[in-house]
Amino acid sequence: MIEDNWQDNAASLFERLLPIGTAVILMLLTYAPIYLGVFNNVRADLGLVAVYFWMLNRSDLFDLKSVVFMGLLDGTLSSSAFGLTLFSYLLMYVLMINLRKFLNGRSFVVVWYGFIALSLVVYLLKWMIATVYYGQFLPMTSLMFSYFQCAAIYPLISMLLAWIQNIFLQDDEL
Amino acid sequence: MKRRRSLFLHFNQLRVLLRKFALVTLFIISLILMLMSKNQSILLDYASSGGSYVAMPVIQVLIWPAKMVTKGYEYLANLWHIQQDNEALRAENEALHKLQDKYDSLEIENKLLSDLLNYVTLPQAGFISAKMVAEERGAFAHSIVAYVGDKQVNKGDVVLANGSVVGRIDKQLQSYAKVILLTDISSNIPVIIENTRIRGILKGDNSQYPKLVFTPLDAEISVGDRIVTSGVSGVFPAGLPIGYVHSIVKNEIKVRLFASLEKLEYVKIVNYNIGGLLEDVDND
Repeated sequence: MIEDNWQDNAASLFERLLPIGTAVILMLLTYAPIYLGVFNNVRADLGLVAVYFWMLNRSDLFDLKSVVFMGLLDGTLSSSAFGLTLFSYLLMYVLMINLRKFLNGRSFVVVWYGFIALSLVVYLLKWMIATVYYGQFLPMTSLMFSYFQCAAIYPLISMLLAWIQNIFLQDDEL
Repeated sequence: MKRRRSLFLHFNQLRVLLRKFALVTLFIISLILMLMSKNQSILLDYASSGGSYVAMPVIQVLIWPAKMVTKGYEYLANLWHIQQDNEALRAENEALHKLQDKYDSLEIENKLLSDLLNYVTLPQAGFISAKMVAEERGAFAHSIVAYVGDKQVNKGDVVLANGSVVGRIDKQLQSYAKVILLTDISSNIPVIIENTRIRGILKGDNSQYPKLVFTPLDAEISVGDRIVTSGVSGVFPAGLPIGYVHSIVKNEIKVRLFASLEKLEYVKIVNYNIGGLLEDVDND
């Protein structure tokens, strides 16, 4: 009986930590020193993709605390302004809170377009804040390259996360 | 029953209000953190140390499968060219032996002349080699993290790869050191064009090619000119190779670095014993 309880608790904890765990892993992957050819110079913000995906599909397991944790962890690793990523993830959180109902249950293409539109808003606002922080305009080409990478990689990452969700989180989906 | 329901409603409204207020507070906190980051807060340094200490080993584990695949592919690709590489290396080795002899004789001559002139040499530079464990290449920052173990590195130490400058130490995070690359927007290095001795500042802008700025308007600069550190301000020693002029478009001079930042694996962190100036600047 105790053993069953322990197993249930462990399984429940695993399920609760799975979204934030996968999101953190994706975020850390952007820091991995792997040679990616032309994509090496500017990389996609995989953490943002994860925030969007989990906020849309399992907002019960991926809440504000998860977003803040991710933002702060990225701040400790990044050499850009501490708090800049937190700001961008919070922005995505706010947008998703308000627009989730329009995107939930829609076809993949609509969800993808939703990400393309929302991430553009997040990227541009982050760019504006960074511009104020550094006191100079950051190059738009790098920003747009990173944004397009992010938009292009969304189907792949969302497929991976959807597969994880279907395998591990299907039973108790709300 | 009605009263309980209204209490419950109030409680729910309060929760919603708190949640909304929490979001605003968090936005404000993120902006405050940015301001603290601008002022190089010690608290954030501690947080960065802790974060790196936890995250870096995770990154190492994450990249292990990808590294294995890459290494396997490289090994097979190298096997294909092993014969030609062997011949090329033999020829290169012979040429290097000749250069070594020339270098030895020049060094002796240099020492004799320095003694004659009573020339005061620069302090001997100490260095450590460090493996790169993480990198940040985005629209907002360009930096790497190198594992330095229990070795001490200082803010401003020069970081070299393949004999040319790639950046400088920003801070040490326990066993790791954060290196700001020359392409980062916060990087400003006093440089000089080797043949014409024109001075300028190499300024990163988070793009692949940093810009050469603050050069005289009538300066004759051509594509291909070599850029080296000028030694002005004493942060970097003079004469370290950096790159060459890649393009000049509408007075915007772009510099291509000698070192390939995309393929960094190991870096050399050099302390030229001219530090202390950065601390002074920071204190000011």
